[in-house]
Amino acid sequence: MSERAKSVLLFLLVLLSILLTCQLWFGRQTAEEVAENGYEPVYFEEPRPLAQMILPERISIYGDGQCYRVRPGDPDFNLFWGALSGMLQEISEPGHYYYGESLPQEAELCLSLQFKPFLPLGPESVWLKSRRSGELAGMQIWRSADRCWAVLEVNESAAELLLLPPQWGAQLAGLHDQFVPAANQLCEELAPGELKLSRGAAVTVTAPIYVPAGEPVIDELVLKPELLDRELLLKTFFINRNLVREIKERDGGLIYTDGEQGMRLGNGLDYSHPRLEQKPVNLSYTAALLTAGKLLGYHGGWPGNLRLVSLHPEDEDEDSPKGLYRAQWYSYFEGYPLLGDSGVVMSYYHGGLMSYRRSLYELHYTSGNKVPVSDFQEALKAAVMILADEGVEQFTLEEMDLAYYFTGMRAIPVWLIRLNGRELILKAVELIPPEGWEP
Amino acid sequence: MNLSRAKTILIYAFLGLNLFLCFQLFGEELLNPLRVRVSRNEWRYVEEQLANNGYILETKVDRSVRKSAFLTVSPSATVKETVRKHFNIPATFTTGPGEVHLYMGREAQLRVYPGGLLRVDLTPGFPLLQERAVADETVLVSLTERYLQENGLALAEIRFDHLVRSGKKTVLHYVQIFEGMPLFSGYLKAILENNTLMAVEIYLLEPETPLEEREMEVIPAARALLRLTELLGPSAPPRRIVKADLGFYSREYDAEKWEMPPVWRFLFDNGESCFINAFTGNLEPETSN
Repeated sequence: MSERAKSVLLFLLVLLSILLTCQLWFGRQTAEEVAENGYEPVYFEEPRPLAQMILPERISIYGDGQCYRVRPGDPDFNLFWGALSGMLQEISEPGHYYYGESLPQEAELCLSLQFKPFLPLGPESVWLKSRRSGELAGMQIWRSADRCWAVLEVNESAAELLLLPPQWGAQLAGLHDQFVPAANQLCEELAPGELKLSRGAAVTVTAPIYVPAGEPVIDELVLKPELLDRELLLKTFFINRNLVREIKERDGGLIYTDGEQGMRLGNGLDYSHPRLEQKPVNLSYTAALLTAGKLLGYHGGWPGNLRLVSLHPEDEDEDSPKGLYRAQWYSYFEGYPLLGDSGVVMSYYHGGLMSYRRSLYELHYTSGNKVPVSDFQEALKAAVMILADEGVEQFTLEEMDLAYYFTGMRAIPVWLIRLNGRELILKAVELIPPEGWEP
Repeated sequence: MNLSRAKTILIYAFLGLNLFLCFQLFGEELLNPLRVRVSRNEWRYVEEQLANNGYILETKVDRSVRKSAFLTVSPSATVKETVRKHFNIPATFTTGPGEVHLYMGREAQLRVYPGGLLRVDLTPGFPLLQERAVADETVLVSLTERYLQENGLALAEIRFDHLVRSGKKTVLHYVQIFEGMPLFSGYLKAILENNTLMAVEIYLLEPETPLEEREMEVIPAARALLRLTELLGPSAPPRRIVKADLGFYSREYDAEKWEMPPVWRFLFDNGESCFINAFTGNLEPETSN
């Protein structure tokens, strides 16, 4: 071999040995190692703090003999709830403020709040932390000049009366004085008793119900589906993405499964994991709330207009495992909940999700179609007719409000009426059930 | 020292060093095909566990390290036309319950199910042997295959798998083969009654060659067998496992396209199969659809 060839070969061998040494030194990750180490804790967003998880179902403001209702998303709603939530968080020792007497004659009701689901109180919660554990179903604020009292309707116990600290009393009185009602916030009170409708029909009202007064005008909305990062979503459900297989359905829907859990993307998101990985344990109400919020945040996030509307243990028969919960959220547009095939429903336990349906929409644009809503009496009459056709003779009204209903990428205004324990949805103008909904 | 001699020594030294480095880096992969994943002792333990749980292994099991990937498949649409032409079945059909398309011909009826399954009912059946003749498996298989060949149903991508007898009925099971691996979800079933071929069921899939970079090591057959005893529990009387193969399987979907996992298929002597996902060790099909 010539000296020149030897030199070249030696140079190449030295170069190769450097390359191989580098590979060995800095490590060479094999495809298998990548697959095995595929787990990375991924989520859409950090869980919301408890203080931001629950909003009142309704806030009613009273003044000049009238009742006004402010709805989620309304600046007045945020103002009043911000102040009241702050007050409940700041009152560390509610025992100091218990008012031993009855409310003074001159005190007037100025604010009323309803919570559904209930607001947790006590050491685990952020509200009235020094109080024993409880769940707040409603709260009323009464005032006499700058003095304010709070009536707490705590679930399964007698109402508690608190004389609020002077600085909070003054702040709430100030907010109440500054409140300028809008025309669409006016409500009409349906007092307990018998409400006569035309043609002899009558409806019983057992507790005061406030319904939107007059003939409000509501915008019809055009919606678009929420867009989620599919890969990120998959990683939040499946620990090892490499073991997930894809099934493309004929209608364009996509199913992902690892054989134990499955997720379908099509008309929203459906997830199911029927086999529990751990034995469920009973959670306190606050812990169940926090778990629901964490799971929603992790698996898709909690959009600003999404409100938790119910949280309760799953119906348990003797054989079903304990510690399973069900939570439901609705999207709110212009202060009204979006009913129909939309929202979020999940069944879960402390160890994770069992089932999850998420079908959320965002506002695309306002159609410009302003819908003059039919009077509540007409709507109630139409609802009564539906039940009367089924042979019902006695009618008890439990709830009545306006809402949106999702149909064909549109949100149309509807009346939501609960009569005799049944929910009825009627288009706000035609007063007939919307397409796709059956009474 | 002579410079030329020094160069030669250095060349040998670096050659040796590079070989050593290559072995350190790639040795495992180079030796992989020869590697046996389950040692003799481990295998003895598996056999013991099987025996304790009432399972008798009557087949050889692949003990080497195997790799595989998900296999993307879609229902095959080509067989229908072949069948229709061979049996002179008109193209017109009626739709029956469950969206089944029914094609009526003189020699055969063809049913096409929405998922892609075809069933050809022969009118009348085709006698392979005399009604009361007793034939062993090989004879029945060879006669059936001759019939399939003569009628354009001898599909290149299928292979005889097993035969199940139940009273007067005999079913010959063929599985689809893709690149040497069985696709247990793709099959042909020849249904015989009293040695007469009555019907043929065909469900074939169109697989796409998986990408090599998606390949992962599968669990060894020994672990799959242990999983089988865990998942099915002890068996009394003992059950005989007559085949153990690595292939692909998923349940049938009425879908456009889907991915199938590699599975270890254990065939019992009564014709029942148990599919263990070769990535997760879970029983297939178990899906949350």
